[in-house]
Amino acid sequence: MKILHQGDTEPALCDLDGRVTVTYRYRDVPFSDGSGMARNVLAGICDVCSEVLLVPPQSVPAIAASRRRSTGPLEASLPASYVDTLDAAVSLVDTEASKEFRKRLLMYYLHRYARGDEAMAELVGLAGGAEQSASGPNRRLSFKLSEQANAKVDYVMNETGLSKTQLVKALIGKIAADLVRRTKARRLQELIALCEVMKA
Amino acid sequence: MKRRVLLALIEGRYRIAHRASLDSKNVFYTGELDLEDLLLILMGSRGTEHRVTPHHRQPDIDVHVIVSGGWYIKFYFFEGAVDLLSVHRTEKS
Repeated sequence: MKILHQGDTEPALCDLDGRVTVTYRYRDVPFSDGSGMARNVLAGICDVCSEVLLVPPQSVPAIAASRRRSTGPLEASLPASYVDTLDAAVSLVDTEASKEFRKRLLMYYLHRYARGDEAMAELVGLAGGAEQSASGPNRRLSFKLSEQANAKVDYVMNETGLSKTQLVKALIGKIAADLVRRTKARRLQELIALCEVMKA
Repeated sequence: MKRRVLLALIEGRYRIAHRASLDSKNVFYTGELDLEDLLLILMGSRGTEHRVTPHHRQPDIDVHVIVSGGWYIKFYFFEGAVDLLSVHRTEKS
């Protein structure tokens, strides 16, 4: 890999200006989904329009680290009824389950959407629908996620266009329908069995 | 084409092309794939999974699109390097 330095130039192709020269400079560059920015990364800037055109391989690790920071933990401030619904589902699966199981249940459903077992469009519908009353106090949910789990959250957010809070609300809406309102009795049995295995 | 792109990637002669902002879906940034994974996807791709269209701004440059194994990869060759326009999962309908 060729290591580039600030001030180095290379030919490049600009969408606006055609064949141009880029000059590499350290810049703060935003992510396209508005989730934050990668700070102080070397990028190729168009000499004509001053836009960022290129990122060299050497900048990728720093950008990936910024991306992880900008995604961070899964956090949402929700009307208390959502958290109560999630807790009701958790206790249906296991009366002794800890709060840690909230995360596992949410991730189980997130994984089903990410894998295509459930249709993403349904998630968008659930987020849009007034599944729960928004009155009452708000409560905060916060989970630390692994890198892979964070990547999965990002993937589903990108595919659906939902924010983190909307995504958590939609997942709880799905959990409410499947488990609390018992429309998927087999899913509940499956989760109870899974929980038993995890405790063994 | 496949040999040429693989060689450029292996030798580090590649750049990630952008338009002002960093593509949030780019798998190099999300940590979903690394360069070796990308090489394996390209190696496993078939000719029928490859399309070529002229670059909209510079028609003398071919833009290659490979859709293989659930991945969407778009790039062009420029002055001895490969400029990667997109590397992300294919859209699900």
